[in-house]
Amino acid sequence: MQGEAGIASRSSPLGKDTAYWGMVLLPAVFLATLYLVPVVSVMVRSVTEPTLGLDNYAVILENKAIRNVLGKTVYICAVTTALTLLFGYATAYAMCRMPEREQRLMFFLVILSFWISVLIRTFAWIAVLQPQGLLNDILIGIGIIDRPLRLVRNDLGVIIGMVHYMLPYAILPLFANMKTIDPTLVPAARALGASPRKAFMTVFLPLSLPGLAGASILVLIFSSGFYITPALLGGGKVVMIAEYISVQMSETLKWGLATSLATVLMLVVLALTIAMSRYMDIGDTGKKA
Amino acid sequence: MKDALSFEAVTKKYGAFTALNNVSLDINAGEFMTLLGPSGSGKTTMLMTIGGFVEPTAGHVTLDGQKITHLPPENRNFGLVFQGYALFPHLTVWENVFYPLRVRGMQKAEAEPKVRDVLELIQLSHLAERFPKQLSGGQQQRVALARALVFSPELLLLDEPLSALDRALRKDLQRELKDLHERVGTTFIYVTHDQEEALSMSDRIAILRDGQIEQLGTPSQLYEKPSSIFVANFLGKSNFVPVHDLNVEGADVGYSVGQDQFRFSRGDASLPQAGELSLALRPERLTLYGNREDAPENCLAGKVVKVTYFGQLYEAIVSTQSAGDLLVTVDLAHSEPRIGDRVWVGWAIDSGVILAGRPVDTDDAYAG
Amino acid sequence: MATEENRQKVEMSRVVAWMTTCFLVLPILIVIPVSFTPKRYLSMPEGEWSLRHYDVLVSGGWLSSIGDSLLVAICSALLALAMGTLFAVGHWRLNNGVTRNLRLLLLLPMIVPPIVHAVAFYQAWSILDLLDTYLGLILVHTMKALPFVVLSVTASLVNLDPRLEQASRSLGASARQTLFYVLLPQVRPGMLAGGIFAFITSWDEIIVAIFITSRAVYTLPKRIWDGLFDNVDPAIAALGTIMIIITAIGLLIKDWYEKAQKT
Repeated sequence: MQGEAGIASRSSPLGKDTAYWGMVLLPAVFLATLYLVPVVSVMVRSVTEPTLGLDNYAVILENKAIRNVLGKTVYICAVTTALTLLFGYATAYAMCRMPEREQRLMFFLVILSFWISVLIRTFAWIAVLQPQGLLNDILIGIGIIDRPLRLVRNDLGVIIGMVHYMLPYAILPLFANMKTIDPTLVPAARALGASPRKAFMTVFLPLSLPGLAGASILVLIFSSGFYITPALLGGGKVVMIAEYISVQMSETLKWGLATSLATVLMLVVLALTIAMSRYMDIGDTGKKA
Repeated sequence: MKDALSFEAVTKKYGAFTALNNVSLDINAGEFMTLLGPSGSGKTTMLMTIGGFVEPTAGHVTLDGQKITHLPPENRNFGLVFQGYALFPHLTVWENVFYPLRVRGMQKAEAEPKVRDVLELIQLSHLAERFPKQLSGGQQQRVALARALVFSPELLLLDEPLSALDRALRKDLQRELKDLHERVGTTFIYVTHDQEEALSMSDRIAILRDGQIEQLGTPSQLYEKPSSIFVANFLGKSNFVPVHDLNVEGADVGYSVGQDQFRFSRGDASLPQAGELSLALRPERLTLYGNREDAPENCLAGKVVKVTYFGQLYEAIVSTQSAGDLLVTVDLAHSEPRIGDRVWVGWAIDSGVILAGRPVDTDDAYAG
Repeated sequence: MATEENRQKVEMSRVVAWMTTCFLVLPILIVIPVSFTPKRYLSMPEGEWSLRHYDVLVSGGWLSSIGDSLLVAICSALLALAMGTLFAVGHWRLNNGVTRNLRLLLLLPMIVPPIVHAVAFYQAWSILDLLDTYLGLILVHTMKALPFVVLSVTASLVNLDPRLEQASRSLGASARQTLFYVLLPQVRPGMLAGGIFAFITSWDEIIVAIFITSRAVYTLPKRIWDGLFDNVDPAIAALGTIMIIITAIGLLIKDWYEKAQKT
C-alpha cells in the first residue's frame, strides 16, 4: 500500500500536491501552536521554577513522600496490569473459540462496559464496595461476616476499579490478535503428537506473545497516569502520581514539582509507547511496509 | 492383507445436520485411498474423524481391529496435512519438521538425522533455516508433508493439500505425492474435490454424497462403470441418453431410444429395476461416421451443431432426434468435424452403463 | 472442530471469561436499581420504588450541564472531524517522511496522560485568558479528539486504490472536485466513526475540565465529579441509568447497521 501510494505521489507534478500540503499543515500547525507549546512549556517550567536547574528532579529523588507516591504508583500499576492481562487473556482466548452467538454477546457486553463513562463506573463501584454498600450487605445478610469489610479507600478498592477500567483495553486488542492466529495450527500440533497443554504452550502462546506484550504496555500506559479511580476509590489514602501532581498544582501550588513530575510521567509513557510500537501498529493501520 | 483402518457404521450429526450417515469403509494398509466429493459431502468430516478431531455420534473407527474412536489426536500417531498447511509461523522449516519429534521428547541431536533425511526426501534441505512465510506455496506444501512424515506415522491424512496451488504446480506435486507414497509405503488417505486429481493418484476412490458413500472402487471402475448418474456426472463428462423397454436375454440387453432398437452387452454388471432409465455414455466412447455402412450396430443419425478445438482433440456436439444433443470427442487422426455435417454417432455394444433415473438438468450432461 | 479437540481447556477459560464479563457488567448494572431508591442516600430500593432522582435531573442544574456538555462536545467533534479528515486524506495522498512525522504529532494527545494535559493547559490558558471559557474547553477537547478521527479516517483509506484519484483527474475533475466527489465519499464511514469517537471523547472528558473550568462552564462529567466528592448522590445513578441505556441502544444500532451493510 505504502509503496504504491508513494509512487503515485512522486509520479505526479509537484504543483498538484499544494492542496494536500495545505490539508496536512493546517491541523499540524494548529496542534503545534496550541498543543505542543503548552506541553513543552511544562517541561521548560520543570527546570526553571523556582530556579533554573534540575533542583525539582533532585527533590523527586530525595523526598521520601514522593518516593512513596512513586512506589505506590508502580505497585498499583504492576498488580493492575498483571490481573488485567491474566483475566483479559483468558477471556479473549475463550471468545476466539466460542460459538458465534455467544461470542457476539460477550463482545457486546465488553464493548458496553468500555463505553460507559469512567465516572459512572467508579460511582457503581462505590455503591458496591462502600461499608454500607451492596457487597457488604450481601455478605452480612448471608452471615459470612458480621462487620463490614473495608473495600474502598485502600489499595484493594483502587485495584478493583482500575482492573475494571483496563480490562476492555486488554481484551479487545488480545482478541483481535488471537483472531489472526490460524485456527488450524493448534489442531495441527495435536495431530503431530502434542497434548492440548503442550500444543498451547508451544504453538498458541508463542504466537500470542506479541499481542500480550502490546496489551500489557497499553494497560501500563493508561494505569500509570490514572487519576479518577484512584482519587475516588482511594479516597485520599492511596495517592498515585497523577493525584499527587494535581495536589501540587491546585493546593500547595508547587508548580516546579508539579511540572517536573508531569515531565517524568510523560517521558515514562512515551518510552512505553515506543516499546509498544514494536508489538502493535499504533494506528498505523496496515501501512507498514 | 489386513485392514489398516475401518469405519464401522459411523454417523456424525451437528444438531439437525447429518454430516456422516452410517458410513462403513475398510481402508487397506499401504493403500492410496481418496475421499472425493463436492463440498458438504462429508469428506473432511470423515478425515477429521480419522484424525481424532471429530467424535462420531454413533459407530466406531478401528485401527487393526482396535477401537480408536475416542483416542485423542496426539495419541493416534497419524500424520495430517491440513488444507492451508498449518505450518507454525514462529518456527523455521527445520523446527517445524522437528516439532513432532520434540513433543515426543526427542532431543535435537537425536532428531537431527531424521529431520535431515525427510528434508532430503522432499528436496528442501537448503531451506531448513527459512521461516514458512519466506517459502513459496509449493515449498510450504512440501514442508507440511515432511512434518507429517518425519515421525513415521501409521497413516498419512491429506486434506485437499494441493487446492491452494496453481494448476501447473499442482500437476507436478501430484506426481511427487504419488512417488512419495510408493517410496514410504504408508497408507495415504486423501481428501479432494478435484476429480482429475483423484483419478490420477488413487488406488481406490470413495465418492461421497450427502454424508454417504455413493460408490467405492478403483479409478477405472468408477469412470467406466459408475453406479449412479451422480457418479457419472461427478467424474468426467457423460452423455445421458433416456432409454426404455429393457429386454434382458442373459448378458445381452435390448433397449430402445425413441423408436430405435439397440443392444447392450452388460458383462457382469447389474441392471437397475423399473423406473426411468438412462444410458450413460462417455464422449470418448462415441465415434462419428460419415455413413451408415461404416457405423457399428448401435448408432444414431444426427447433425453437428458445435465444434470446439482443444489442441489434442475436438469436441463436437451432435444433435440427434431421439437422444438430444450428444457430446463426442474426436481425436485429431479423424478429419475435422464441421458444423452442419450429417453424421452417424456410433458406440460399441459393451460401451456405457445403464443407470436408474434421469439427470435433473440436461445441461449437467456436459458438466465437468 | 476446535471446540471438540480441547474442550476442557476451552470450558475452563470460558468459565473465566464469563466471570470476567460479569465482573465488567454487573457492577455497572447496579446503578439501575439504585436510581429508583426513594431514599436521599445511596441504597437499594426495598419494596418501594421512586422516580424522585429522575425529577432532580430535569429540575436541578443537571440540565444546564447537559447543555454545556452537548455544546462543547458537538463543537469539538466537528472541529476535530474537519481537521482530522483533512489531515488523513492529505497524508494518504502525500505519504512521505514529513507527513509521517506530523502524523505522530497528531497522535500525541492520545498518548500523553490527561493529568499532564491538565497541567499544560491550566498554565497556557491562564496566559491566554481562556480559563473557564467554552472556547478554552472546546480547543482542548478538539485536540484530544483529533487522533481518533485521524485513525478512523486513515483506516477507511487503507484499502482505497490510489489510482482512483488519478482516474478522476484524467476524467477532467479538478483537485477540489476530486476531493469532494471521489475521496470524501469513500471515507464517510471512517468519518462517521471518528466523529462519534470525537464526540464521546469530549462528552466523557473530566480531568482537564476539572482544572480549566469552574463556574461559567460546568460540564456533565464535572458535575458528576463534584457530586461524587460532596456526597454520593443517587441522582448520579439516575443519570448513569440513562447513559447505560443510550449506550446500549447506540451499540445495538451499530451492530444492526453493520449487519445490514453486510447483506
